[in-house]
Amino acid sequence: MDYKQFRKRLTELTGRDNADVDALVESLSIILRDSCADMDNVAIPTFGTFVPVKHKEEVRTDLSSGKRMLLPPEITLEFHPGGMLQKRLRNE
Amino acid sequence: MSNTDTNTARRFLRSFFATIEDSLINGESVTIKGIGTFVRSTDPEFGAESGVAFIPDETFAAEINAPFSIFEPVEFAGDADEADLEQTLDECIQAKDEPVAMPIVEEPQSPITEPQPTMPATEFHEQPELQQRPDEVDMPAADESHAAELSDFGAEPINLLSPEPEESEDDIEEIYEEESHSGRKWLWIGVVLLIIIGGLIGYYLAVAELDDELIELQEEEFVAEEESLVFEEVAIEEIAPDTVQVEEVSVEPEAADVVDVAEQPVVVQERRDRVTKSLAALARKYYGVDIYWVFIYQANAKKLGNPDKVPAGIEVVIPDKSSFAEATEEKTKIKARRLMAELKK
Repeated sequence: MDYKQFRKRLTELTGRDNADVDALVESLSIILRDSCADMDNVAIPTFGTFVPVKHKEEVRTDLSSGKRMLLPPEITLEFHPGGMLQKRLRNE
Repeated sequence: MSNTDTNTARRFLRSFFATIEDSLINGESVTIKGIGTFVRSTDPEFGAESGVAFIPDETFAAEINAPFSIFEPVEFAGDADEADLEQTLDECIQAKDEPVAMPIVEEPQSPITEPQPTMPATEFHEQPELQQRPDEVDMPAADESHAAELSDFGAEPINLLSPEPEESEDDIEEIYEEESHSGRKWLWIGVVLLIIIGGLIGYYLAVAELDDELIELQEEEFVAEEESLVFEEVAIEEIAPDTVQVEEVSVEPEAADVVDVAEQPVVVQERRDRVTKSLAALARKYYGVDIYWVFIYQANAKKLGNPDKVPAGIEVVIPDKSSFAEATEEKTKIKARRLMAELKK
C-alpha cells in the first residue's frame, strides 16, 4: 500500500480531507523525529514502540578493499511491535 | 502544529495505526511519507524477529542521526588499540554538545553503504578482537631511541597515534595547482628546445647536401673539360693522315683578266714509290682502283717499257688523280679500260 492509498483510507476513516491528513502525518513524523533524536522512546498503545538505538563507533573490515574502517557512532530507529499486534499477526 | 484538539488527534492516531495494523495483517506493506515503511517480515537482518519490520524513510533516518551526521567512516590505523577507541567514545558521551574532531578521510565511494539507504552497513564482519592481518608487518613502537635514529638521518619521527594536521581544502587545491603549473612549464620548455634542435639539425643536413651537390657539379665540369680537350686533340690527329697538302696556286699578275683554269699548270708535288708486286697494287694503294695502273704506266712509260714485264723494285712516279680523272668516277674507269685496250694491242 503506497502513501496515496494510505491517505485515502485515512480520509475515509477520519472524515478529513487530504490536506488535513498530510498535516497530521507530518506532525506525527516531527514528534517522532524530535523524540528519537533525544533518545526517547515513543510508545503507541496496542501498536508498538519506536526505539532509537545508538550504535557505538566500531572497527569493521571492508570486504571489497580489505581495509579496516572506523565507523562513526550512529542513531538508528527500530520498531518493536506491541503484544496485541504480535498476537494478531500470529493468529493470522 | 496541525491546530487540532486532543480528541481529534487521538482519533487520528487510532485510525492511523489501525490502518497500518490492518494492512500488515492482510500481508500488505505500508509506506508513509516522511516516516518509513512497515513490512510484515521475520527477517532478523531487519530486526524483525517479532514479525514486523520497520524501514525508516531516508530523510527521517538522517534527521534522527543528525548529531552524528558530521562523522564519516575513516580508515582505521593499524597500530591503534580498540581500548583507546572506547576511551575516546566515553569522552564523546561526556561532551555531548562538542563533537570530537575525527580525521576525515574522503572516500570516493565507500562500499560500506548499501543500496538500502535506511539500513546501517551490514556487509562488514565484526571483529570481536583486534587481530592483525597475516600480511601486515609489526611496526616498532615509536620510542625515544627510534626517534633518535630517525633524527640522525634527518627525518622526523612519526607518531601514528597523533592525528595528522588538517589541511584545508583550499591549501590542497593550491598545492595541486602549483605543481601542475610547474610541470606544464617544464613541458613547454622541453618542446621548444626539441623544435630548435630539430631545426638546427635539418639546416645542417640541407647545407651539407647542397655542398656535396656543388662539389659533384664542379667535378663533372672539370672532367667534361678534360674530355673535350682530349677529344679535340684526337680529332685533329685522326683527320690529318689522309689529307693532301695542296700548295697555293700562284697567279701571275699579267694574265689576271683572263684565267683559264684548264691551261694553267697545276703544280702538284709528285709522289714516288717502288713497285713491289705490280702496278695494279700501287694503283689500289693510292687510288683504290686496280685498273688505274694504266695511268701510272702512262706517267712512267719510257722507264717501264713493256707493261706486262715491269721489273720489281723499280721506282715509279705516282701521278696525281686529278691529272687523269674525268668528271665522274665511271668515266675515269672507262678511260682506263680504253687505255688498257690500246696497250694490249
